[in-house]
Amino acid sequence: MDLAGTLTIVGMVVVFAALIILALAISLLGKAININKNAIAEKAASNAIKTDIVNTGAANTQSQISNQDDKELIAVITAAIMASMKGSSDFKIRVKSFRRIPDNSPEWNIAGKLTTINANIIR
Amino acid sequence: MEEIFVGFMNLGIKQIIMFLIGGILIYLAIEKDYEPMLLLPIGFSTILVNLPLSSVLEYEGAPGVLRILFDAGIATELFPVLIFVGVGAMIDFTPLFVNPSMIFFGAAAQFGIFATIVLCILLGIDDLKLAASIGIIGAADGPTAIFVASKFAREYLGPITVAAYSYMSLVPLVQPPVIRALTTKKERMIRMDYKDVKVSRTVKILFPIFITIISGIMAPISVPLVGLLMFGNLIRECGVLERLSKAAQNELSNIVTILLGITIGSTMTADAFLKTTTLLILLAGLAAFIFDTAGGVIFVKILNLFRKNKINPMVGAAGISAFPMSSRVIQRMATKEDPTNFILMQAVSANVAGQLGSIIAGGIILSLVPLLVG
Repeated sequence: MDLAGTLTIVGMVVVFAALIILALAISLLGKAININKNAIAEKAASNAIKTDIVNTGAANTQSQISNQDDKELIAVITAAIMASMKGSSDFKIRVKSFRRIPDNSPEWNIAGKLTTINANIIR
Repeated sequence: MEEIFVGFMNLGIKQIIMFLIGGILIYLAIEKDYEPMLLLPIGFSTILVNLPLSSVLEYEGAPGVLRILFDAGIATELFPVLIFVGVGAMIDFTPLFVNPSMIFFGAAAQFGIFATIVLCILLGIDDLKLAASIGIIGAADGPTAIFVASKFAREYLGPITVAAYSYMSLVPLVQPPVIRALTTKKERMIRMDYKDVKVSRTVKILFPIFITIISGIMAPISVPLVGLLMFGNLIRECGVLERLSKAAQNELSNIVTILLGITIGSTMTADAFLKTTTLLILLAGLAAFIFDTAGGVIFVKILNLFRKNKINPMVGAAGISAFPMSSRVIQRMATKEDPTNFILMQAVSANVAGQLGSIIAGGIILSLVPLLVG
């Protein structure tokens, strides 16, 4: 009985200690890597500002995204791209603009597509 | 003439009972879907080894095929260790990096292992090694249970493995009543904030290497367990060994699982299985899962006494290693109380921590028990 008691106390203490060390290690590891990343990001940001100044003229020709609906749509498009990349955190993408492509499909095709989409939503 | 009926002459009531037990295991695997990958081979092997003069164990003085597999794969711990490579390649530790604090619940829910060891001693099992092997059912982690039992209580490997895998399948039935008994409706409705943190690939790669070194220093005997699990995980996360990662997850795991199941079943002979200790193992295994759940829930409730941002105590119960059953059960319970409450991600983090915690607990038992027994 004494041995089992000792095993319980020592065992639980060691399990906690080991996992606390791991939690600390994970936090420190994450922080250390973030510090490095921030430094790299700062460098990249300063370079980006420079190129923005150079490309101001070209940027004006792109469609401007101002209203709230478009921002939501951009968020959805970004999420869809990220999902198609299986949520990998190694790629950082930012959707800046989008252009609608006119839908020239025949009416029956559009109706078919809508039926399929609605059927999926209901399911 | 006698030689023709030699099979009938050696068939006893014990063997027939074992056929029934084998049949029940096969039934549970197929009809109830209780861990079919392990229970079906174990069930069939139970029938195989209990056939009269079973030649899969011994034939004309020479070891039979299952005895050879046992000596090569279980006695040397090769099979469980190979399974760990596959398991490592399957585990995604990302939820743990997102919520490192959840790691504590992975430790608290290991309480069941140690509480069951004490219970076994109280119930009259004098051998600490056997008690520890029964307690490890509470790790809710099949390969760890097999690994520890194959070192400390080889003759009870069959019942211990069957109990471990059966109760893992029964988590959706075992955990909810215990959680409900220990928590109020208000506590079960506690909402928790979730922050989505991006985890860099470097962290994911360094993690298995760090863990191997830390656990190797803290509990050297756990290296085959943790080391090969982390090797599997490194293959997965390194990003350049996709083929090997898939091979470890599929081909390696599948082949070893077939061999492991049928070999473990070879320990289920009538003489070894039909003992009161087997009944004790099955009951104590259930107790281990109940203690695990209670340990996790009570730990969170104690933490909540000192915290401003309360944690949903059900998350503590997800600290067992049965992944992803336990976290799913917790989310289902949370949704039942409040359909808009989502604690799945926190529960998954605790669940992944539990996978790690159970292996560390297994390693500690392997180190401590021989020291205590002397």
